[in-house]
Amino acid sequence: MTGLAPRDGSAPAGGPGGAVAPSRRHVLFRVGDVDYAIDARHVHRALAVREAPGATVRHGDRSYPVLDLRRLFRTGGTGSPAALLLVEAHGQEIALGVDAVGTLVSIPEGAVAPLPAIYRGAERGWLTGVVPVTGRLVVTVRPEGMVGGAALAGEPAPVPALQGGDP
Amino acid sequence: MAVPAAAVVEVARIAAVTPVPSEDPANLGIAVHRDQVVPLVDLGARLGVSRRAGSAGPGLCLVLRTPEGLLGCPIDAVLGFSPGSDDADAAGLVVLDPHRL
Repeated sequence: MTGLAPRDGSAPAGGPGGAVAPSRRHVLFRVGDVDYAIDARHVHRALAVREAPGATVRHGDRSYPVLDLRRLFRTGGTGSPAALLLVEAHGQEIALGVDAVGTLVSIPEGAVAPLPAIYRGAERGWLTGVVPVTGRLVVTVRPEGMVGGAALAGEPAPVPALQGGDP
Repeated sequence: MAVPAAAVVEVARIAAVTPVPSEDPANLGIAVHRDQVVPLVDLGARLGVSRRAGSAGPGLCLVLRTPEGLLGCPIDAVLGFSPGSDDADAAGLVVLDPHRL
């Protein structure tokens, strides 16, 4: 089991010889009491919700089916989500309903600890791991597991094969 | 309940648990302890055993070593140590196999 380097996600890690580990920028968002991070390359835009979204939302010339993460993650949230993240993965687009959208952070590659093996259900299709960011544990998400209709239909997403016991 | 001492890393107090979404209601979330990711499992829910009323406890947690990594199990109290599994059986204790949690 690899440990976690307690980094805040915004400072690049130093490696041997002073080399800086590559980082990826992520968008932080909150659903319920948990903070999540999504690779910013997948995010088109964040929108504040002014009125209850229907099954789809239009932005520009694109239409995004809405997936309320409060329902997918069963946080018990009611009413409309406070914000939508317009996301694209595998050429498909979706609007993720969330409680709040946070800042952009840089997360060093290799800083994310894989989701523990006891998480064996549908969540393994949506979540990839955990990483400490500014003193909180943030869960990284896998948008590829959310697009394509499976999550929208409440069906388990195809689950990536486990990589093995210890990360 | 009893657990083989060789599987016990420590008995610790876990302060902050991040409730990661899971289909399994026994999965309580994830904590970071000594820079290690420790998933927490409700033994009662996993084994179908109800806890005593008012036994929520102040965060005492049994940290176990399993083939899949560390695993944390919130407990109410440590009762003691038994020389061998036969003695645990004789005392009417359920002996847990960490490989099956």
